[in-house]
Amino acid sequence: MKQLGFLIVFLGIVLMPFSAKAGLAVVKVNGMVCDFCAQSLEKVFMEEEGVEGLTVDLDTQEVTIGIEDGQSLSKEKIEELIVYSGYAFIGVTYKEGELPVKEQE
Amino acid sequence: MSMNNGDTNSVHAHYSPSIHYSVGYKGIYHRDRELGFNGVQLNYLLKRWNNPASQANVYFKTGAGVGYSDRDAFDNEFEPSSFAGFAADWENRRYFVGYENHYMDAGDIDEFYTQKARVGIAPYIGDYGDLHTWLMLQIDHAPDEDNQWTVTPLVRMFKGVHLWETGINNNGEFLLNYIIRY
Repeated sequence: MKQLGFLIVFLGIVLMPFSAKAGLAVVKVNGMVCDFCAQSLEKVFMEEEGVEGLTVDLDTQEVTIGIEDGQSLSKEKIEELIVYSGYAFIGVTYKEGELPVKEQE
Repeated sequence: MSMNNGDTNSVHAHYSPSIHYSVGYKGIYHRDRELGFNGVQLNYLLKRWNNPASQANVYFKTGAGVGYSDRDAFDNEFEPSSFAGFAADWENRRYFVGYENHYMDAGDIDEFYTQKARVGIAPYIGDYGDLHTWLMLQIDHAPDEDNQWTVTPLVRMFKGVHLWETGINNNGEFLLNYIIRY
């Protein structure tokens, strides 16, 4: 029984990286000053598999990307998409959580 | 996009395979000159500066097609035509400055040079997705026209993929522009 418990804990530790929960990628961007132009970011990222949504904060120059359960979005891919959209990629930090629900207008 | 002011009516539908260039149809009619143009326009981004709180761009714009005239001796005359010019802009979330020039060669029908400059200020800073408003002043210079200088105060508003501009110049002529981004 003790061995079975050890095995479960061991498998849990080993497999944890492959069972990613819904996560957020917070991307720091330069040049994102115009709402009308930043619409291209939404279009480009929403075409990417595993992206469930994103929010743009023009004040902090940050794009927060919601990543679906079990999916991932590498730093290299994010940088590629940011540059493709016309902006300068500064960096990304990953964290757990969900995108804030948009307020109804 | 559709641009309409005291002198011209134009339509520009273009596709951007990358941020570096776009290509598309350009149709324009200069009412005072009675000169029309239909052709292909290429916009090329020469340089972009992405700064922490601002962005600046320099573009080269050119086009080729067919010009036609309704005017006097040139009535119903068609000529191979082309144009070229540079555009530059700088903006942050509060201020906007832009400049653009344009040289048009319509063969035997016409040949002219124009330039325009814009300054703008946002009276409030909106968040992403809000209705954004800019108050702008556009100065047009057409050296070979009777009214060489035209000043147009205008309001630019945009929300989502829609952008509108409306204004009235010092000759009492309206400006109405609309852009939709797909």
